Amino acid sequence: MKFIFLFIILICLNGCSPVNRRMGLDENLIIDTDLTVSDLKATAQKISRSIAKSKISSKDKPQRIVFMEIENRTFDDTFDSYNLLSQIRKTLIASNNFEFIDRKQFPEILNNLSDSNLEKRKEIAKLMNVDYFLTGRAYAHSIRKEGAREVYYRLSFRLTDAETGGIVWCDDDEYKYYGKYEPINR
Amino acid sequence: MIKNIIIILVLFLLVGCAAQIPKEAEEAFYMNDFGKAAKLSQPCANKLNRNFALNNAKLGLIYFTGGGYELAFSPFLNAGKVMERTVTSFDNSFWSAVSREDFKEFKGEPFERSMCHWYRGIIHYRRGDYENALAAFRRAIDADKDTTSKNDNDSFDFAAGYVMAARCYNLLGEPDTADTYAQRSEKVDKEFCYDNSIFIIECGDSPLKQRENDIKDIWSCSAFADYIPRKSRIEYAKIFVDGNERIRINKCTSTSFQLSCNTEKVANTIQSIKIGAKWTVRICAFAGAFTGVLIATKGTGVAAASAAGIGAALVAGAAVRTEADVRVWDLLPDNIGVGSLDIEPGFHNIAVCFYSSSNLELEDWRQVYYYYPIKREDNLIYFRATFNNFGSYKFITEECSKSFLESKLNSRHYIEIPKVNKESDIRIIPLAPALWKENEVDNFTIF
Repeated sequence: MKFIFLFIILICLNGCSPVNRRMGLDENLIIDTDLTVSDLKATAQKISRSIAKSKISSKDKPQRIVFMEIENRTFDDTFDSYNLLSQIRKTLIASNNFEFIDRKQFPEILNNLSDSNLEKRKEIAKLMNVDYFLTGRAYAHSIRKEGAREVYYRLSFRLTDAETGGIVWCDDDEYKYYGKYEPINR
Repeated sequence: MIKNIIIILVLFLLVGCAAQIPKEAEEAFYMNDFGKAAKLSQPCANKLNRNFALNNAKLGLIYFTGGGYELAFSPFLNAGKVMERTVTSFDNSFWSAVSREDFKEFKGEPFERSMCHWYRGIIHYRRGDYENALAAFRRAIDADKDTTSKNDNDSFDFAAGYVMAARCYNLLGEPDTADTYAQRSEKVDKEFCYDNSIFIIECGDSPLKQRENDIKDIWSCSAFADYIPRKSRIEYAKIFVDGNERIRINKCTSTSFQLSCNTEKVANTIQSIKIGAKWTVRICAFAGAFTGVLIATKGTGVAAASAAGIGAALVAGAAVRTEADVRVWDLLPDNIGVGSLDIEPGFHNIAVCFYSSSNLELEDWRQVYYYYPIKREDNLIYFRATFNNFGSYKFITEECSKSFLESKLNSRHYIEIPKVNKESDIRIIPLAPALWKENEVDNFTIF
């Protein structure tokens, strides 16, 4: 009898736990095998620090950078690379050594940069007074066996000299996740 | 006491009341009444319950087959997120382990997951967003990896996914990786990746799932399910461009075959344990009843107590539920065929003819697309050939002039549309979805 009451109370209490609450930005209650916001934030900080410490960083003449794109080679077809780049931008601008060109002000010129050849890029770079292009690649590799999945992520970035096309700086960040599916997984 | 038991039983039964999309919606889908099917499915798909992924996958496919690609994306994304999740709640796995298998949220067999990502990939591809298309195709391939079969090559058997991933790599300027993907499956022709037009043809209907329904059922307590194949008359297809036969398209990826590769060993073990538990409870209930009768006949006056004991044993027996999960994404095609061609840019008449195993053309299934616009770089031409119920609906292309249409009116491909009187009559017209204006389809507007 006691057990039955306990059971019913437990069922009732199930709906009484608080659903909404404020969370810390680095707190992750749900860990899946996808990259989390904390990961992307950590990567943005690491990369921006790395650029700021690189040889191209100069207080005398702030370097002008244009975002290109982060190639998406992950398994996530909704991967938001712009958010990552904008976090890098925020930190770099704060260092006073860099300036970024606002793509939204020149969409017709800058949005076609990815498809244009080196000569065309040089021309645009000269016109816009651009020093470097910032590009990157998000790569993921997965191993899936016996009800579990292991995913490796590599987020790599590089700065390309707008005039020569040479890579003047590159760095990356890596993550690895393991997830196990429930016993009956279908 | 009895009241409490009844309350618990009612609560227990209510757990199983999460709705799937209604049968009428599936019937409307098979009759090409995609608007009706979508309207009937939408309320179920919006509900967060254990069938969320299944309902969204079905809704997505209804929109997709009807040509509403942009509408289809969100349901496919919702379904895909649940299917790939490794984080599960306690009650999700607990209830399915101790009771009916379908008390857990639907995640689908590996092939169902692959297909969900596959359709998202196709939608990205149609938008010209090859990066995200590649991500979705890679996920589709990945979702299918956790299957086993006797043939080692089967680990790469989601050939259609490899073809499309290879095409994406090629279009993104990575021909080496494209080659690697093209070589992964023996069913993939390397040329598929480089020709300017790729044809994808879906035929047949995927198998249904049914609990064992014979004498074995008594012993197995319906704990295992069988896949019931649905026969299709179509064996292969041929593509004719401007009246000339150009390519034969064979089956490339098969749902039935994929399902035969899947071995859910853990699930079957858990089901076997549940059968053991159920039989133990049944035997205990029988022994209890027998003892109760013995005591009652001896006139010790504890008949009521023993009856209560038997009742409790029976309730416990009923609570051990063993039924197998028979939820299945049954709107999927049975086969996907892939072929490619280099076609001169411009407008072409494209016919798809379907053939039986005895090489006879199934004329009722023929589809003809007049003035199909072929671009120089890349064309995706996607057909679903499962339907023989076109009824009085037609497809046209924007480029067709009125006089041309009138001249073709006698053809069964050009039949008049009945007048629309009320909202429920609004239908999305099947066929030639690649030619529909996206916004018109999204608004359920009839041509």
